[in-house]
Amino acid sequence: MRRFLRHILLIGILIAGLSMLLDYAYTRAFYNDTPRNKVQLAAQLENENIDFIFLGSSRVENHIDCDIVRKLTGKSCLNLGFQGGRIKDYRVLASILKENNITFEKLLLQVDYSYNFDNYSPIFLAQLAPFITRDNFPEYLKKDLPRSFNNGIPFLRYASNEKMIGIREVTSQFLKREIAFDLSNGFSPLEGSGKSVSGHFPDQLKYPNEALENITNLFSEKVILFTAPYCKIAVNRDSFMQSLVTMYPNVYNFIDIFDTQERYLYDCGHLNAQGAEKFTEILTNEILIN
Amino acid sequence: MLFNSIAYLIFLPLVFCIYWFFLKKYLRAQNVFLLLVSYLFYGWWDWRFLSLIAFSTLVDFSIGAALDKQEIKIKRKWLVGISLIVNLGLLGYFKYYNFFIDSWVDAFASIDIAMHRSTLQIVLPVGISFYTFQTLSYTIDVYRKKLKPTRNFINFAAYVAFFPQLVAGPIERATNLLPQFAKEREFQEDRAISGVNLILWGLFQKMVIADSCALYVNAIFDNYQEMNSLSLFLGAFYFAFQIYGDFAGYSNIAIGSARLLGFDLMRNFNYPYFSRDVAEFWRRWHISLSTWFRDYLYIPLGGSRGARWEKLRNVMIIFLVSGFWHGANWTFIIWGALHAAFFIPLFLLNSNRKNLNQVAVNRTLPRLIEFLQMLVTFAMVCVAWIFFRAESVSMAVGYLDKLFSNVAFTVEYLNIERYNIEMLLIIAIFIALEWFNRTQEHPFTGSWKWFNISAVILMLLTLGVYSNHQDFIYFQF
Repeated sequence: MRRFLRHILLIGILIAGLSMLLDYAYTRAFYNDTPRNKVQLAAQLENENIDFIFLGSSRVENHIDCDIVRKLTGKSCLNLGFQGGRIKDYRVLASILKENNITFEKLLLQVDYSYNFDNYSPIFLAQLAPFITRDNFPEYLKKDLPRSFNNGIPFLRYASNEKMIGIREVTSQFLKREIAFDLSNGFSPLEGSGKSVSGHFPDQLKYPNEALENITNLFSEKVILFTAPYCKIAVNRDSFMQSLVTMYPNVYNFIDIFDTQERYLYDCGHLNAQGAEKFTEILTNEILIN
Repeated sequence: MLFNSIAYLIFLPLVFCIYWFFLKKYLRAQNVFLLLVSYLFYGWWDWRFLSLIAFSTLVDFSIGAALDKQEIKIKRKWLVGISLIVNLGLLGYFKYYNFFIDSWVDAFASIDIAMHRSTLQIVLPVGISFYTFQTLSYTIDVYRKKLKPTRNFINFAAYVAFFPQLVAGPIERATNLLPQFAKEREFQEDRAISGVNLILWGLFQKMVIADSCALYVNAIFDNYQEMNSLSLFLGAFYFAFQIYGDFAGYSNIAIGSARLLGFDLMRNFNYPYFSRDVAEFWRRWHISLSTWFRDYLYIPLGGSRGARWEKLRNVMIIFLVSGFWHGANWTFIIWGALHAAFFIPLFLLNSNRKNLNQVAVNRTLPRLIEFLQMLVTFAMVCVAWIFFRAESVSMAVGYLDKLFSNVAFTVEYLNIERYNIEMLLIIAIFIALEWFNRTQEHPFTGSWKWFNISAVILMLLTLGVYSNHQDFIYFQF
C-alpha cells in the first residue's frame, strides 16, 4: 500500500503544484499587462479622476461614444459597458473603482431590460477571476461570488471559466494581441442596420434590486440612472418601463426616443453607429450639460 | 454519475477506502457493498431504471439456475430463449420501438399508403445495450455449459451492475468477471498504480481530446451546408478523435477504477488508428463488443465455415447488427454496412488476419508502406464516421457531397473561440504520445513516466474542457 499511497501523493502534489503555478502565472498576466477587457481596465486604474463613468451592458458599450462626451463637455469620460453586463456586475466594478481611489463626478448606470437579473453575467465573472485575490477586493463581494471563486482552491476559478479566460486569453495577453476597439474610449460601434431580432422585457419588475440599492448607497447623488433606446415592438417594453420609472422617478428614460427613427437601430436592442452618435449627444445634453 | 465529475472524484476514493480499509477481510460484505454503490452510481442518473437492471438480473439468475437443473435439450433451449426474449425485448422496446414504427410507416408512405404514426415518448435507459449483452453472455454461456451458474445472487447482481463498466462497458463476459466476485481479492500495488494511471490517461482522452474536438465537430456538422471541403474534412477528422477519445477514455477510466478494487476488466481499445487495414481496426476498436458478436453471433451463424456466400452473409450480418446495436437510426446501419464493404475484400483475399501484431514493432517509425496503409485505413474509417455522426442519411450524403464538391482550402470561421491550429497541435501531441507507447496500455511507463504524467496533468489543467463539458457519447447506446 505504501508505494500506491506515494504514487497518489505525488500525483496530488503535481496537481496542486501545477495549479498554484498556473494560478500565479495567469493572475500575473492579467494584473500587469495591457488590458484587453473592461474589468481588467477598471482593476488596473488607480488614483485617477474621471469625470463621467458609464456602466452598463452592450447597450452602453455600443451606444456611448466618450469622444463625443469629451468634445461636448470638455471633461473626461470612460465607457465601462460590456456585453451581457448585469447590475450585480456593475456593483463589483463600482466597488473596484472606489477601492482603487478613482474619483468621478457622475456614475451613469444603464438600467432597463436587465433590471430583474439578480445574478452575475458569466463573462464578467470570468474576467473578474484574476482580481478577486487582491487585498483590496471587498470581502462582502467575495462572499457573494460563486463557490469556485471562494473556496481557496488554486486555479479552479480559471479552469471553471476556461472558455473565456483560459489558456487562449492568457496567450493573447502575452502576445499583446489587439482587441477590436479602443479600450480607453470603451465605445464599440455597430455598423449597419436591419437585423430583425425582436426584444422581450419581463412581465413584471422585481423590486427592489439589491445590487442597485448598494450602488446608490455607496455613491449617493453621484449615481445617475438612465435607460437606452429599445425598439418599440419589444414585448412589455412600455409597461416595464412604466414600473421602473414609478420605482425610480429620477431615472432618465430614453427608451422610446428613436421610435420614429428606425434608421438608427442596428437591431431591436442596439443602435448602429449613427444612432449611437445621436444618442450620446442627446444624453450628454440632457444629463451632463443641462 | 459521470466519471469526469466532482461527484465521482469523491465517490471513487470513498468506495476505495471503505472497500479496502473496512471490508477487506469480508468478501461477502465487499460484494454487497459493491452492489449497493453500483446501484447508487446508476441511480444518480435516473433511479427509475434501477428496476430494469434488477428485473434483468432476477430473470437471468433464475434462468441460469433452471438451466443448471435441466438436462433436456429442448427445455434448455426454451429457457435460453426466454432469456433472449426478455433481454432483447427490453432492449427492443426502449431502444428500437420508435425506429421500427417510423420505418414501417415510411415504407408504406413510399407506396402511397398512409399509416398512423404511433411513436411513443420513450426515455432510453443509460447503458441498456451494455448490461443487456452482459447478462445475455451469462445465460448463453451457461446454456453452452461453458460456465457453471452461480448460486450466489449477490455476486451475480454485483456482476451485472458493477459500476465501473455498467453504463458503457467494456462488455464483460460472465466467464471472466463473475468468478472474480467469488474469489478473495488481494490489494496489489502495481495493479492499483496502473489503475490510477489509466484513470488519469482516460481523463486526458476525454477532457482534452474528446471534449475539445466536440466543440469543432458540433460547429462543423451543425453548419455543414455552409462549410467548404477543408472544414468538412477537418470535421470528420476531429470526430474520429472525439469518438475515440470519448469512448477509449471512458473504457480506460472504467478499467482503472475496477483495477483499484482488485478486478481485471478486458482491454477495450488497442490503438485502433494505427491499424493497417479495417480487419486490424476491428481487432483494436471496441474489442469487447466485436468479440461479443464474434462469439455469440458470428460463430453460431457458421463463422468462416461453409460456402463462400454463407461466409459473406455472416460477415454482413455481424457488421449490420453491430451498426444497429449502436442506435436506432439508418445512419448506424449504413456505418456498419460501410465497414462490411471495407472488410469483405480483405476477407475474400484471405488477408484479414495479415496484420496481427502491433505496427512497427521494435522500430521508432513505420515503413512508408505501413504509414500509407494506416493513412488509407484511417481515411476509410473517417468516411464511415460521417454516417455515424450525422443525424440522418441525407445529412451524411449531403456532407460527403459538399466534401468533394465545395473544394476550398481555407478554414471557415467556427465561432467557438478556438483556433484550428491549436486542436491540430493537441491531436499531434496525442498521436505522438500514443505512437511512442503503443506497446503499453498507457504512456505512463518507463523512464519518461513522470514527465508524461506531469505533461498530461498540465494539459488537463490548461486545455481540459470544464465549462462546455459533454456527456460520454456511448451512454446513448
